[in-house]
Amino acid sequence: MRGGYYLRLAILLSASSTIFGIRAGRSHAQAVTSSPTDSAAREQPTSLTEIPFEPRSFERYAGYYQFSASEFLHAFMDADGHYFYQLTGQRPVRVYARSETTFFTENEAEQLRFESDSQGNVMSTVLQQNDGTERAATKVDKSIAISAESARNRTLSDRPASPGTEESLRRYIYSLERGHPNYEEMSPKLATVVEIQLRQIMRLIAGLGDFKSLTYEGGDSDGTDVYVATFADGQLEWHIAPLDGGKVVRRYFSTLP
Amino acid sequence: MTKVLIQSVVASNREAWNASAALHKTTDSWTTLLASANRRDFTCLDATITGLLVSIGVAGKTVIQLGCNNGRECLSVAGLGASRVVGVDQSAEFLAQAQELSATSPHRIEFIEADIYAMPESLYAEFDLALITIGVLNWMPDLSAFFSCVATTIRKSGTLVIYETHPFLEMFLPESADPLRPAESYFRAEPFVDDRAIVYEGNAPPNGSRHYWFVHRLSDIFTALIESGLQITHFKEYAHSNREETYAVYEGQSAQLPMCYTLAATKR
Repeated sequence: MRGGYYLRLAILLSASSTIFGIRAGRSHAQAVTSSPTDSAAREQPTSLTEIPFEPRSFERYAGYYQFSASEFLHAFMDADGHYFYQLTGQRPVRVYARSETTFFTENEAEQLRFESDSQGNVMSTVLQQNDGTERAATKVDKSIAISAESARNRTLSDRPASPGTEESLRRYIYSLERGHPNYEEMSPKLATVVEIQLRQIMRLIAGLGDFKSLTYEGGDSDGTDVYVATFADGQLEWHIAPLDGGKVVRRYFSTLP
Repeated sequence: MTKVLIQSVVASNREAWNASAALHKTTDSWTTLLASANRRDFTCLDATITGLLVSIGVAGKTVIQLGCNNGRECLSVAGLGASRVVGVDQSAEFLAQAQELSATSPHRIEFIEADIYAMPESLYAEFDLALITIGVLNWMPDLSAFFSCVATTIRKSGTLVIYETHPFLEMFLPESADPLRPAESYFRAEPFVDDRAIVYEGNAPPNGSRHYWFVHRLSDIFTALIESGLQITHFKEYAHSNREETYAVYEGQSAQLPMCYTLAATKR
């Protein structure tokens, strides 16, 4: 029948992290460079021994690893088959294979270890820093890192506000304060959304105290104008799309910390 | 759709779920759940949604599940390391089952009885991650209002994760004589109306509680997300079924239908 769904009960055993075994390799000194953009790469021997490592084997390590909501490690390989990691906001660092799972930096100060689950899926990496501390990062989808990056670097355009959006938003806030939203200025679809949420919105507005000011912040990439409304006890960020025939067709808000 | 109509449909669906709840406690699935939920590493999540949640990062995050049913997925998310898990459902009877299940678990889950169209403001902007799993969107008569309500629970730059049945699947009837022949329009506007008890396996007799199942196109879903200030960052379709056993007939076909999808969206 429609409506239910079949319960696929998968009682999974705890996936204990397993570090791959180390493949015995031929020892030899290896050329190193400092960054993938350093075209005048210099050749230097290292005292640590690099093992032969198939670039194809690095593909499973390549990707993004998350330390925190805003800090990531990007493991990648350049066109010449050299391996690198790059921390958020920092330059790429070239690394060399010490084992099937462990890579070291040119100055031997740092080491990167990849960890996999019992099925061989790469789950995380541990960065051992030059002070001996270790930081673990979980492998994440590229979109997560890119999304965090774009959120961190979100810049609103300095385009002027669309005609009427500020006045419209002011009238809406005043109407909420009076307890009677100005539905007549909304598209029927938006009016339903506001009507459905009205009790919660009213309580939220009441909890913020008196409305003080409205500031235009800029234009967002989804076409909305962004305003910050300041109340006696907090702020709300409002997005409002250009009016359509004088009506508000899209408007949403976020509470600000 | 008007507020009155939305509230009427939601109330009818709530009564239907409450009236069906007792049946779910007679199933082998419930017995299995009760026997296994006491484990810290208990999970009923399949590899698809587990992988997405892990890749987005659930450990240490605050998570809300909208439409949590008997709480089994809330417990599973807690097992992935979430710091706080809140389950919201409008069925008091299913939340009673959630409390019963949760009582056997080492994880502490907060369950809240609420219509998702009228959630308490105490949930506003409280969560890093909101989760919607299979069998939620189709109960919702108005997606724009629904996602607007969902978005209010998510912190700025927080993430909504959806693992749902694919709308294409609503064109087919697995119990029909020719289950591979499309039986319904993808653009069907009116809901399916049913008077039978809501069960996951097989069919149940009518129990006097009418419920409504709405078909939302992908474009309806995407548009409602955009209107709610949710920026889509991930969308993937799959050939496997996460629905009732009868839908297995659509798996492994040479001309394969998309059967489910995962979607992630970030709150602007």
